Amino acid sequence: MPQSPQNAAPAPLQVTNLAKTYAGGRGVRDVNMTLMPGSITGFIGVNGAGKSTTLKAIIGLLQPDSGEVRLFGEPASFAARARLGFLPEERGLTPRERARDAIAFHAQLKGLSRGAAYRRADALLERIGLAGRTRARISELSKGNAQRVQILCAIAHEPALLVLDEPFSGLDPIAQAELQSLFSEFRSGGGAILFSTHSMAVAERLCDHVVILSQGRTVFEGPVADAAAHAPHGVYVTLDDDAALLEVVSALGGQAEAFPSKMSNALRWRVILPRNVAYPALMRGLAEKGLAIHGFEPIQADLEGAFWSLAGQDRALQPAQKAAA
Amino acid sequence: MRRLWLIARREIAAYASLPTFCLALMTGPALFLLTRLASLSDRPHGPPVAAAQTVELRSADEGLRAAVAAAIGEANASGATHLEVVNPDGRRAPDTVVSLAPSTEKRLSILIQGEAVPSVAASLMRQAVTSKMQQRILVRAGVPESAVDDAAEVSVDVAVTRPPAAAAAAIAEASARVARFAVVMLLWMNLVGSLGMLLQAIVRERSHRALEGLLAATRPSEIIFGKLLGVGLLSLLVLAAWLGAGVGVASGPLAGAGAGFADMVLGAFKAPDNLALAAMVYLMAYGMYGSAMIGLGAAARDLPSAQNLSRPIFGVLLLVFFLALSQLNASGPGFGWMLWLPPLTPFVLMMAKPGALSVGEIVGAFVLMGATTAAVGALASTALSERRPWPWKAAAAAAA
Repeated sequence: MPQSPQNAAPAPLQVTNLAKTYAGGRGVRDVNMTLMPGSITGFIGVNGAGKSTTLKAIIGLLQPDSGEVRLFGEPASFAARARLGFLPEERGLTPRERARDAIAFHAQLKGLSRGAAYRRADALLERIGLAGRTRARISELSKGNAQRVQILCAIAHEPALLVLDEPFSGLDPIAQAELQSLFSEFRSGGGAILFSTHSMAVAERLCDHVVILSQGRTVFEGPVADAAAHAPHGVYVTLDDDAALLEVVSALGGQAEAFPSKMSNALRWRVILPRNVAYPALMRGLAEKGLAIHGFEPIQADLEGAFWSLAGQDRALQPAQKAAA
Repeated sequence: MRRLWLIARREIAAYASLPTFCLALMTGPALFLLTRLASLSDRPHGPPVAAAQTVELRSADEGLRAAVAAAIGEANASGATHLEVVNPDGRRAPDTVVSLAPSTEKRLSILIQGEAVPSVAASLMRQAVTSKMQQRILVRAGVPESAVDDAAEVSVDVAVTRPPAAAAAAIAEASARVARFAVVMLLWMNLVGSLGMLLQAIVRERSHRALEGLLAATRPSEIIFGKLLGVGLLSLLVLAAWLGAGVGVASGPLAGAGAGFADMVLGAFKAPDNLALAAMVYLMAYGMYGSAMIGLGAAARDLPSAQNLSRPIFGVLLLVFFLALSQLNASGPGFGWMLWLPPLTPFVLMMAKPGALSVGEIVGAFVLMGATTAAVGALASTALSERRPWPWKAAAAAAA
């Protein structure tokens, strides 16, 4: 049984060698992750990497082809999933339902008594500043408030594990901050959170751990700080003469990938250099060619850089020689 | 079970809180009341009265004129005519002039000018004049007048009718057919309405993107049977209101004892045993069709595609309507094998004549409906969730 090293409690979630293939070949091939109690884990990957498929398999909405999902040390079962809260990517509530009733309904589905469910609903609505709107129907709430009510539905039964698919999408900055505060509160109570996101800034600010998914496989799992170490050694360069750049990069043994630039007649390049090649060498090479450099910015050793390095394989970084050809 | 009931209660709240639900509840009672009131207003209040018509009798023969006047009086007394005999004084123009002109002792011409005299009066006139002329011949031949008067009083009544028992049986049979049709149509209307509610209930979750959240907290079968239960209870409430109104109108102070169509329809509500059987059959039909409807709703991504997918079911229900209609005719086709065709089973059970199906057949039909509900419910669960593969896909994968 997997144990968390901190307090010997079973890991709230452990996914081992998970695979699920859809018709057409999409899906996940080898996903692995372990969540610790009292931690927030970011689940990162490009669109189509398999994040939602993995989350659905954890929740039990999908039957994986192979691999195992364990919840709280036991094979995932319907009973074990009662301790889990889920916010799907496709969010919505019945418009005619009242906010208070919706939250209490979901809490009761997860086992709370009717009285306890309504008390909890009232407390949560007060917590997000909607105490005066308990009788409001979902259709009468703003989109942001309706989304917040949906998040409350996921946590109403006080789960030990929260699985959230893109919880920050569609929220304004204030609601995002409020949600982050809720997350922190949940973590300090010993709960574990797994959430998928495209926002590296949010993941870096909020998460203890990250799981990076690329082409259906886990390519990194660990603390955020460790992930940053995977950030590549390189620079963003903006200039006019692409052929000359590729020649210099190739000579240094590096790789380059072009991005469209807002500047006319100029391309922004992401240049990855061997670890033993310092930035000045690239700059010197470009200067020797007499190129006009519009921008030269070293890639930060942060989560975004690491993500590019680990998951950017999906975008097929071109070797400089090949691109030049 | 608790989650199932929570989902059912949520469905009940979703529909019962709508003001328009009252419309569904009250439609049946209103229809029954209107049917009864319409049948009361159609009832005859007395014999039909013909339009008043003035008749002038012209004849040189006082006896013949008196005989025709007597015949007109007789026709008026029967209520079939309203003829007024007027004198030829010229002060009032008659509608009709009847001229009686004997050409010989044995022949007489009657000329009717103006408005046509009702056939009842014409027949009586012909009979009265003929009788008068025959009496004269007999008197002239020496037959005593008393004997002639006695002969004139002879009357023969001829009535043509069916044997009473056969007529009663025919009326009873027709009434029973109409009554069965009325109950089937009542269940049919309620079923169609409930299936629409069920389709909405499942598509609503999908279109509002609430299904995934629900599936994360419950089993697909709990969603299916929870919705079936919730909408089913509402549907039973509507059915009870309709049947109750039918019973009330059929046996209350407005009840009629006639043999009109309304009385035949309302006659269906005078047999509690049949109504109890109808309610049981309805529940089975609702379970069977309802799980199919939920499955289709689950397979659809939105309301338009759900409506398209549900058309075959409503097509079957239309077929059922015409089958039931065909049974209104005594010489209509029988059902035979259709009892064992699950979509038709509940309606065949309801439309079959009493005693036409054996106990074994009835039990078998109920088992068939139960098994179909379970099978369709399992397929609907699969459609609702991505968790389990379709049976044929699983079989293909196993074979591979």
